[in-house]
Amino acid sequence: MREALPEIRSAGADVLAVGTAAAWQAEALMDGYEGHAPLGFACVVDPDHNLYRALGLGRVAWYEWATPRLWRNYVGAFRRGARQGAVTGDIRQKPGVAVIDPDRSVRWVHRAVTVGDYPSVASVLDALTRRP
Amino acid sequence: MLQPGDRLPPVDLVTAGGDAVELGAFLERTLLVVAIRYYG
Repeated sequence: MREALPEIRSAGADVLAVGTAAAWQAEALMDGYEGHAPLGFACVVDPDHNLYRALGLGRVAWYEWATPRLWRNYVGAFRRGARQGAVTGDIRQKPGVAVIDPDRSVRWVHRAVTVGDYPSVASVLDALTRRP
Repeated sequence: MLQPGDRLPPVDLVTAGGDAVELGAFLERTLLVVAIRYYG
């Protein structure tokens, strides 16, 4: 998402990252750490899952840990250079991406089917440039 | 379940500095919210 930040801002939007925990990790990502550049957008935490519930983002059921898609996503992320840091949040929380307008209306939402199910940058940019 | 066009209720969050904040504080512009599982 960091690479698409100029296009996102050109579309009149900003980015907010939300995690289930922990504030110190959000701060490290915002400020940069161990040779990693600052993200360039705000990071917050939602320990009570308020936003996840509001957006209708589900949780990973026990049987879903056995699905090939979940493990393909893990392997794909590893191949792209992602490495697991300290686990401080809810590993069962499914992710999601949403476009929210200043009047609080939800223009678009992607609810992950499983872990690592994120929309493409192209589809996010399409949602941002599409008028409600 | 909330659908496109619906409005979000107040959503209480916590800043990276540990302070309480409501989502509306970030809604000066359209917001692309990326809700991940956890930072790690």
